[in-house]
Amino acid sequence: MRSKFKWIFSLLLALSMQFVFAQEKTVTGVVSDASGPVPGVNVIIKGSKAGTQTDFDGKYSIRAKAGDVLIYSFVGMSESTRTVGASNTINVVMQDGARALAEVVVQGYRTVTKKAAVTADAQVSSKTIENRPNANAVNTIQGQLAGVNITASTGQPGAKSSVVIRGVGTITGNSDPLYVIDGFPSNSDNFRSINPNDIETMAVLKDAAAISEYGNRGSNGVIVVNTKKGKFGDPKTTFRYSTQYGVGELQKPKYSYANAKQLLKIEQNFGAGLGATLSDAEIAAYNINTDWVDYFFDQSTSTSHNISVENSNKNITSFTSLGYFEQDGILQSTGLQRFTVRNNINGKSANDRFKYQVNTAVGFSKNREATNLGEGAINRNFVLGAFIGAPYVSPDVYQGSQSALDYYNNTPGLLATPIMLIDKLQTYKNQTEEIRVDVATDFSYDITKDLVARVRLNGQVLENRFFQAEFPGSFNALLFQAAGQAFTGFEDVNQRREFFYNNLFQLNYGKEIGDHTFNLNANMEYNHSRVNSNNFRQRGLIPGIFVPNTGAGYAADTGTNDFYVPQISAGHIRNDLVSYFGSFDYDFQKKYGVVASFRRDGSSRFIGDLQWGNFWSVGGRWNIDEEAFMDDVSFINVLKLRGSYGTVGNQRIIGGTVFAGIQPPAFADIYSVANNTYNGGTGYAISLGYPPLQWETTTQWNAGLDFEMFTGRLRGAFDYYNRQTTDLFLFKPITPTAGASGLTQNTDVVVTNKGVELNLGYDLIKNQEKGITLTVRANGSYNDNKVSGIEANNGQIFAGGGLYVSENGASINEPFVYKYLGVNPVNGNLLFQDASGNPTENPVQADKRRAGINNLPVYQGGFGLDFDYKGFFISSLFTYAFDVARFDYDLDNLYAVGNIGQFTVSDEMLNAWTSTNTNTNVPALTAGNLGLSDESDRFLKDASYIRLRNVQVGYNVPQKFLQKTFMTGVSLSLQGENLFNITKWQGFDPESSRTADVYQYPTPRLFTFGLDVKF
Amino acid sequence: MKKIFGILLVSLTLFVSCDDEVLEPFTPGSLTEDVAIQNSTDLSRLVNSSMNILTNRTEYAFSSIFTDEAAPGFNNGGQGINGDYVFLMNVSNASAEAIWNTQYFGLARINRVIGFADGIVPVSPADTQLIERSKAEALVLRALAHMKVLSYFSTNPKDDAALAGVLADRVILATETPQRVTNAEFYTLIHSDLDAAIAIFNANTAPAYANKTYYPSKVLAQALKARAYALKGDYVKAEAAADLVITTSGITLANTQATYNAVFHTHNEPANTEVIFRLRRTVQQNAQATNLHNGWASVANRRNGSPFYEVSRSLYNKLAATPEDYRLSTTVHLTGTSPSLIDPDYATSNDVRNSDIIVLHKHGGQSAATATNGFNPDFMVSRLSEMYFIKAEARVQAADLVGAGLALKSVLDARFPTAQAAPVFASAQAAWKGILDERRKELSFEGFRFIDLKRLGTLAGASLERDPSEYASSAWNFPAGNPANLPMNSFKFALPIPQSELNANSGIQQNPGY
Repeated sequence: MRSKFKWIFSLLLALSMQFVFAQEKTVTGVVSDASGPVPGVNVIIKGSKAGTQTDFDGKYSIRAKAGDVLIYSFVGMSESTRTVGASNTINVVMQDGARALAEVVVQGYRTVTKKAAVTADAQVSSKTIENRPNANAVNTIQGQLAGVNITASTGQPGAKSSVVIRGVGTITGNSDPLYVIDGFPSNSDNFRSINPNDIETMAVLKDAAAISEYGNRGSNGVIVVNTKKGKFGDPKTTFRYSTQYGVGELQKPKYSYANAKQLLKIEQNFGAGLGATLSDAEIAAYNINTDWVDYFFDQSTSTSHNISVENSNKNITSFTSLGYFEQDGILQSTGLQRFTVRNNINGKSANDRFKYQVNTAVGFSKNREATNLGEGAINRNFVLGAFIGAPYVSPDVYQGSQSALDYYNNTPGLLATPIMLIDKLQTYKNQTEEIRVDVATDFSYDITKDLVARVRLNGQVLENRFFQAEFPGSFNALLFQAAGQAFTGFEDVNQRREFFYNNLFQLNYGKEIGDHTFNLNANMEYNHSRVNSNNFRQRGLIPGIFVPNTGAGYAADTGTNDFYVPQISAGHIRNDLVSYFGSFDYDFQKKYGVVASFRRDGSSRFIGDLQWGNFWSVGGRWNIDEEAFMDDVSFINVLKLRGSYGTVGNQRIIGGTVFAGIQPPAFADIYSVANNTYNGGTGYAISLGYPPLQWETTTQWNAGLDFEMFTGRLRGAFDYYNRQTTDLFLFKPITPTAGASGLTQNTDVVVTNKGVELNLGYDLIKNQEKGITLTVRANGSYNDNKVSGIEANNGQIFAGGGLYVSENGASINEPFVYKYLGVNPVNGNLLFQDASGNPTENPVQADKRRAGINNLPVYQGGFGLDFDYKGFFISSLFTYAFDVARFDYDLDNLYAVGNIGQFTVSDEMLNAWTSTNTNTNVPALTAGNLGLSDESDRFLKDASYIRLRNVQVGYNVPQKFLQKTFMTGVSLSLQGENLFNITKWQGFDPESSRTADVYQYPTPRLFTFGLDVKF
Repeated sequence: MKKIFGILLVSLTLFVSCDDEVLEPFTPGSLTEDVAIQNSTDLSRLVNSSMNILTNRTEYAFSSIFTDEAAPGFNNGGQGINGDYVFLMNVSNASAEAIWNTQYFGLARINRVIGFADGIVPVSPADTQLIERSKAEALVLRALAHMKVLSYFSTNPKDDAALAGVLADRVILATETPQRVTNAEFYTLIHSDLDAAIAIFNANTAPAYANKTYYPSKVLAQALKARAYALKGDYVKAEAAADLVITTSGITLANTQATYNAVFHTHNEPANTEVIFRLRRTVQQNAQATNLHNGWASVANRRNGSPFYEVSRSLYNKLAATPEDYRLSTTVHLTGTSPSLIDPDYATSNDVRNSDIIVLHKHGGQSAATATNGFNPDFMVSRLSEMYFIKAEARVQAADLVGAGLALKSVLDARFPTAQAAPVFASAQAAWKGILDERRKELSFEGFRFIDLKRLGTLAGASLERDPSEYASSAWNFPAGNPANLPMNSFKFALPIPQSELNANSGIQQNPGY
């Protein structure tokens, strides 16, 4: 490596000599970082190719002229620049940095220098990810990367975020990206057992050339995660300890809830519930007013500890970390606890020809999740109780399970809902224990100087044990007790083991001949994944003996009845992929480069010849700044034009886990035996199949421009892309007369996503002498999502019982609704717009229109500021999404007449239309067409938002204070997440990837204090 | 180092050679058609699945809520009160969709039985009988499903030229976009299927089922012929078919409170009593989402069983007018655990929701549970009493009002402890009304009321009978639920072709008004 660099160096130096004409002098100085002088820093003169390196004491000396810009670069640190002025001495303090890593870019299975990359990528480094209070690292990179739409749709600690890269390219197929961890395309969609502090970089690959080498699973983009590793060098051991403590709270909605007195009045007006039996005086004297949101949602706390050890050596290095993380959810009963150990070892032979890497990680997490979210299960969904529990009910009603049952039996309607849920808090437990073991290895051997053989062998085991227990004698157990059943309650225990295996063989040949550089590689890859599951439900638990998750207190089957017969099930699903692929790179003079790849993939999800798909890509770049004519354009430092075109495949025919859609297979009509189908006999469940099922293909082209200007103060990238998905997987509606409502198949539908992405950074203030920097960052994307090619059914494909439509020329799954106009002042009924534009109370099917907007934002991104001054730092991140709308069914609920008398509603219901209150926008409580509300856009609400996603304020203790201690670095920080939103959305959380929100778990607002010590 | 390279090469070779094996789809238990259907047992599995699909409570619940059998219950959490109960009927109506889908999903399996039956090679003469019987059962079910489609979706079942639904006399492919056909074509298929089934049953020697009411039978085929002729208004044939069932089936009406209760509450009535066909449910199938009784109550047929629909006041008043009528206590939960709360002053009560709670008891009575392995009721499909009503209707049509009264008397005698006087009708309209009312009491909550109003409402000069306390009181204030809003000639008596069909087949003929 070193020798190669020198060789290039000398050649270019010779070329650039001819332009040197100004007065030169010798500039000297010392380059240091927080821990002292840094040897080996490259110092070059911008625009020329002249350069040197710092010596062992960090000193350098270089010939330069006034006005020259010196660039200081070192792996793992931010690049610094200085302009040569009158002084002959320039001392530089380098910063550990995010941008330093951007010097290297992931391109398929290899990393190349940013300069040589033809691809569009976006990455964040450990600096961004470390010490953020998110259990799930994916959540942390939200808003940091242009074109990557990450949505946390639940406040459940550690839960999976929705990640959409460059728009949704499918309607009912899978839109999850592929996750590659340390070279292992593990396909894992849960990150909760991974310690975010172990992550060095997360890169998102977006264009065809970048993802071509993951082409069999990369059609929705690829997220490449690399974990930390030690550096080769002189023996050295460093330690790092960081800890955090945080509190979380609910983001409050803007809904206008009725208080107890208002609700009782509404009930009186409507004639239902307790209020209907009270006089005005009694209502005025009513003094219970329970805030059920406050009852079920709590302040939460989180704690984390991380210790890492980095060991450097000449031929072997290691990175070892231990982590503990604990976060309670803001919703009672939820939380996550995680223990992680990671050990990354890198080694090489003395002659540098053999290199290896073994990354091992073990994670153990215990997760308590809320159940029945989004469902109307009044006795199970805590969020429902919180959102619509009647405020005039006191939690003191609850005096044990029997009291809940009594209250339920003796109160009208479903008023007892929150009391039932209080009982569930006491008498229901669940937990998912997960053990995750990741082993990622890489062995390479330089057969000759140019020919490298490489083997990767990766495995991951995800062992999952879930239990849930409904205790004997609990409200639910009593309610659903059968006659003669002595032992009530049940316990589920579900064991699940997922195994992922990946094996890659690669031969790589690279050669430089004069101005020409070639690289050619051939690969074979085998991916295997399987899941085994075995589940049982024990029915009948013996009170007093039963202990959750132990088997104690299980009642056995008796001869008299079948109440205690356990239910069991087991499963085994596999998926295999075989791939052959190769790529070819060519570079001329570091100015022009092309990359081409071709791959052939086979998948066990399909059958026969259709198992195989061929995919390819080409890409090119032009480093314009290398051209001679650019030498006069001094304000431009880097300017690179790049483009790519290619195809990638997708085999995941439906959404859900990586194993969804495999069993029963979708390529044939399948008959599976079903038990107890009729009169105790077996039956056949038929799933209709689509014999020509094959790979879905996404064709993408991308053009981009990378730039750095004004000595690097302004930097950024601009991309235009066009992604088109064909042979699109779709659960396409079919005539029910064929025996099913739809059939998963490759369809004529084409989904096109095209858009632009812009990523900018600008150093407003950059004064290294005074130690002040102020940087503005912004990224944004515009995505235009369009459906075309639908030939049948008037070019429309409906979903969700006709509530959503994908129509030629429009975006996917737009709400298909009546336009709501308001309240008819004459009778209080709802008015809708008919097809000819007139108001009507009784619209028909022909009056429905697509809304022209959906749950996928057209504009989204993030922006923020970084400010540093003598060790103090402030950084902020705002995220935003525009042109997005969802159904707010939580709001709908507050206007639901059926809820009056048993649940709470909005205080606006006091303003409902009556014959004496005709000028209102709340329909009459007795309106006959209220049922059409949900088929209209009445509760389709703008969900655009700008959110202050993260603010950090901290202090890096300067070196001078640490000199006499064992420590080499100390930093303190205070941060807040989700501090405020600017939005028209009235609900708890404007951010969601769902088409409609109801009874969901909002993401919390978090405040965290952190301490980070290096020694 | 050389060793590693060696292994690498060996691995590559191995790798290339076993592609096909590696990529073989692993799909245990997923059978393709040719493997799945090989013998009589396989065929009976398809029949079982067909009947499982047809066991759908939507029709039972809809027919009671959209009409005047049920009224909102005090535990109503919004179910249907902005929809079916206030006659909100459009293309998105979930009940219309469930009724349509149920029949056609069932028919897709039924047509496979009929199609495969002839292709299976029997292993023995006894096996031939089993295969034949499965085919006959499928033919009866096919007729039944078509009759349901016609009943709910045809604008006028008596008009041969009116549209019925999609004729499913074969396996329809997923790629097709079928059109509706006329009632005439439906009736032709219904009768030819039933005749073919009767011919097979006549010659069939397969061993009898332990409980023959659980499976389609010759008697059911005959009873369905009677029902189909009555639906068409062809009363001469209807009466002949009904008489055939009455005189030759060997089945008699349940004539004590205990046996009548047993028919509905415990299903252990003596053999050959009352029931011609019921869709059987076992305790293993107990599930809140599919149990029949959970169509009206979340938990149990008790006041504290979370009834979100109750027996309507108007039906209760009709039944309670003659308290010794067995059907009163079979239909309404009057005594025992957490019984109904009957408010004599319901008409003036200011809280009728909580003061007057009339709990439905018919399906499963107190046995019905919503619990694992708990009893859940069967779905009654055809009972003997319906044959007497068809006979009565035929008598009216033949201008024999006395005969109509006598036919009703046969049922009444069985439903009271003492013999009843034959109803006397002053006019044909009064007779139609008398029959309609008697059907209402006898067949309530069994999925007849909507179709009966559609068939007989206008002839009887009837209207929907809802008590004002259930749509115009302070507790239940639903102006849109006023029965005046559903006149007997409303277009809503022909349900819309639902969204599920339009999703893929928007060119299908829609009914007027939608």
